[in-house]
Amino acid sequence: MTGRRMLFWPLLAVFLSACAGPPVLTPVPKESACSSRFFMEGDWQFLHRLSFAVSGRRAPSLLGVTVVSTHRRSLKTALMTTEGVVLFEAESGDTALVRKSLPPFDRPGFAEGLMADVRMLFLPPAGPPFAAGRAPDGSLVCRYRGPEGEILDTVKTASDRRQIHRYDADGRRIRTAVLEKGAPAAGRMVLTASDGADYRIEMEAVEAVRVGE
Amino acid sequence: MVRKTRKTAVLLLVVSAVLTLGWGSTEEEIREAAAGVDTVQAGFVQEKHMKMLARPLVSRGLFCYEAPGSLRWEYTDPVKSLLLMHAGRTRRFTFQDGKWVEEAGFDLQAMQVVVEQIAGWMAGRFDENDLFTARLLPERRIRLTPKNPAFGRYIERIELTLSPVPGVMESVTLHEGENSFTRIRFTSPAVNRPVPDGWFTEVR
Repeated sequence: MTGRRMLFWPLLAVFLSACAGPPVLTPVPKESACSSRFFMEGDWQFLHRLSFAVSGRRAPSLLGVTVVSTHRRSLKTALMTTEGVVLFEAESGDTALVRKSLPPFDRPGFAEGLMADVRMLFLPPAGPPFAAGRAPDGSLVCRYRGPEGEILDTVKTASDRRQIHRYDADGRRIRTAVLEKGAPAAGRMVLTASDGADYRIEMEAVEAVRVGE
Repeated sequence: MVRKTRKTAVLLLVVSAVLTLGWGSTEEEIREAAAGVDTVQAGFVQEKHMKMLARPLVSRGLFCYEAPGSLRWEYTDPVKSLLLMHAGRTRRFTFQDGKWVEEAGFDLQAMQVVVEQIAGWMAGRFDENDLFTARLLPERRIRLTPKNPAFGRYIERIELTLSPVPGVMESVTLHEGENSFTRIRFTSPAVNRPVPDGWFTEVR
């Protein structure tokens, strides 16, 4: 098989999955698909090492610190250099409140986009699931409504891996997160943006501290 | 017993007087004191304080300086990273997937600027500086404020506390605004101890 043909099929698969919309589900009871243990509950402070790739180019490593309370549904996050200089700091309530944003993290829309990504990874969806079922590939999916017509799927693959898929109002998959066992407190999370933003963030757990204990 | 206590007290007085003399109290005296320092090696503990944090972030590492301007700034825990400065060139490495990786296309970052400044501070050159205005404060403290307001967005001011031992700093505190500061305390300093070959150019 030539190199071009080898590339064609994986690229086609990615293209089709991004365009196909959320998969049709064969219904199963919500209790079996929508485990409350998909997200970590409680108040936590996480430290991750972040590796960014933007349009295939690697950016310098950063540290990401996230303070999350699932009870209060609050989220604070900061990006800093590995030496500890803060480049971006924001917190999320109904809207993103930006406390600090230095170049290149001061571009319009960056804060909202980042906070939506962080919220997707660390906070369980706000409302109850509206559907649950098995996807054609055998994975178990719990489906939630997000803001502005978005759909959020928490996915347990047939090989028992956790993923989160976010779709926009037109049904295009805009984010894919793959969570290793123990994430976000241990292991890695990989977030891929596929809405034209074209970036990939790899988050490696460094510290997880339960707050208030 | 009384004689022994008195001897100890006198000894302590003499030692503290010598240590307090240390760097000196004027910029000129500080520069002269630093002139006899060829190398300084120390550990450091860095605490990152932010209003949003439930607990400060603590990092540890090793620091090594050799006159006139070589520096090794290595974080060993919890995230390994390394800045090497030698012959006017600064390189940055991070430890990923079991190996050191040089960060290509690494822009000039605030902390890199600070680390580069440290080489000058170790030589007692606080005032000969394009980036910061230095002010000598009581109790061996020096306050540095950025000359360029744009850099002030990263670091509002830096406070250095000099150790009583010439050439040695007790701590560096970087104030980034009202919500955040970073304090680096140096531990177990060794002055003029030989430095291994290649320490400022090689990743080990």
